Amino acid sequence: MTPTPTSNITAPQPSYVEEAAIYVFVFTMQANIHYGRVPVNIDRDSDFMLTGLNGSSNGTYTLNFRLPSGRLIASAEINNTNFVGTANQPTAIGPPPIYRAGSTGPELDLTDTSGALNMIQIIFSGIRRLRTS
Amino acid sequence: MLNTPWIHPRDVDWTDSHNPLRLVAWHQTNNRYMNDTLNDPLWMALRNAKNLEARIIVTPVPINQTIAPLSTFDQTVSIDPVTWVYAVNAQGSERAGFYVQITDALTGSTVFSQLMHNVDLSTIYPAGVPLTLPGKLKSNPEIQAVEPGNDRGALIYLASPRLFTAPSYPIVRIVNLASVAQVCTVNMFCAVEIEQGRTTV
Repeated sequence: MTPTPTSNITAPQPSYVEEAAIYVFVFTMQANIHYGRVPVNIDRDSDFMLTGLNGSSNGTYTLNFRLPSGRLIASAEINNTNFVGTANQPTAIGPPPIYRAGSTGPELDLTDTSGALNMIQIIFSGIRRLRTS
Repeated sequence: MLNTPWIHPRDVDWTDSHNPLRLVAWHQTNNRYMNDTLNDPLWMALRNAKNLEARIIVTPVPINQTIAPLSTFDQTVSIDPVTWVYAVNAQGSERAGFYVQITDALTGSTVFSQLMHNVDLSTIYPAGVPLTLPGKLKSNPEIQAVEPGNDRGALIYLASPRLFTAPSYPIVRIVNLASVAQVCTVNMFCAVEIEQGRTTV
């Protein structure tokens, strides 16, 4: 009797569909107030690769956000004018981080520096990756 | 434009954030310098590399530290063991601005051949323009009337990324050109090599 060789059945590899995606973050800051770990919730059905950043605001502010590893991207909060791009030329985020589906995304640390009510809109643009099987 | 080959949008790698094909502003007919920079062999290697993580180094520490008038300030920057610096920008609170130089502590080599004025490292409003001015970009009409320029994005890209590897580290020198104390900020945009498998928690 010869031993029956074990069959080498491997699990099928998942397949994905990639499409453009934009996460719009709108937030109102009170004068000179700091806000920590403000989430940008990622959809539950897809991962999100962040490739570009742009936005607008009523006044100046500083910001920092977290990478998927949990580490902050900047060593300190950075002035919005030095980091947040424009619609014409978004700031390229490279290497682009991938935020997992259902995560809190790039949790933002924000501090208003305008001294007045400050409404901001930050556009996180990139690629959405939906698992199809 | 007539001599450049047309590339189907579906043939563009949109997951590469620094692919010059994904941004019209980086097209070779719009900004050939940026196009050439991003097609530099070293840039191509970085764009295709794995196990890299984005990082921004903000100096000096703390960021609201004032630099004494007409004085020189050196900041030793703590970095990850393998750090590629690919872009910088700088911002000052006074019209006179300040000079910037970034030096490799081990080799003494400098990023710029001479001290750079912060206005030349900024695509945003000129030094001293009130921070409350809306838009604050050089393309803003109110600023254009005083300081004409083009909106080329928030980052000033180096022609070729600079590597700082342990035991070396960068030293940022700031020379305040104003006759009053000034808040000077220099930001370095980097990619750092991380251990394999530590891309997510």
